[in-house]
Amino acid sequence: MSVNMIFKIAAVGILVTILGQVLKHSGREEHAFLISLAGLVLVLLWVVPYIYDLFETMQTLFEL
Amino acid sequence: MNIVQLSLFAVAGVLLAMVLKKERPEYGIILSMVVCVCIFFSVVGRLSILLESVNRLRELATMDAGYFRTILKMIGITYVAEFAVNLCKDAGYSTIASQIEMFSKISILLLALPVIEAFLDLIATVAA
Repeated sequence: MSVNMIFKIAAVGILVTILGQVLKHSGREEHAFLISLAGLVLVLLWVVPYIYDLFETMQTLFEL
Repeated sequence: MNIVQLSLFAVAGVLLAMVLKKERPEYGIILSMVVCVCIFFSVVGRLSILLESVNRLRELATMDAGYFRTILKMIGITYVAEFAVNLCKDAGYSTIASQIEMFSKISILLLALPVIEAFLDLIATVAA
């Protein structure tokens, strides 16, 4: 579960970079920005519940 | 998840983050955050076992439960603050990191206050 999360994020990162470069060179600057934004939002959608679980476990473990 | 798997996993995460750091720094930070979270989840398993055994020891030593709970809270606050501070420092925002550090120190001091007061009362009764 945890290992492929890493590879998924890396894959999205690399894909967004490549697409950004291609779009930049073909003249569509704003599309490149939109693509990177979309990639970031996608990655955040995966990561945020993960971080929430972390702080939830911490709270129950340490009785904060 | 033994230490070999863990370190391989961490090194893989770091290498991937290095690749992404040049073009897209934000992915590097998110990647390092995910690696930290995964490592923490394997730490939690061991930590809960440790806490249970320390709890049993506490019953033997008839130490007050309140003190043990404050110690536990302090450890928790330090751990969460450490996680956030190092992450902010990685991202390059050391001012935010120092604010978090300041807040965690003050909240730990707040936790320690009743213990200090109890200690001072003890001294007062003994001395007077």
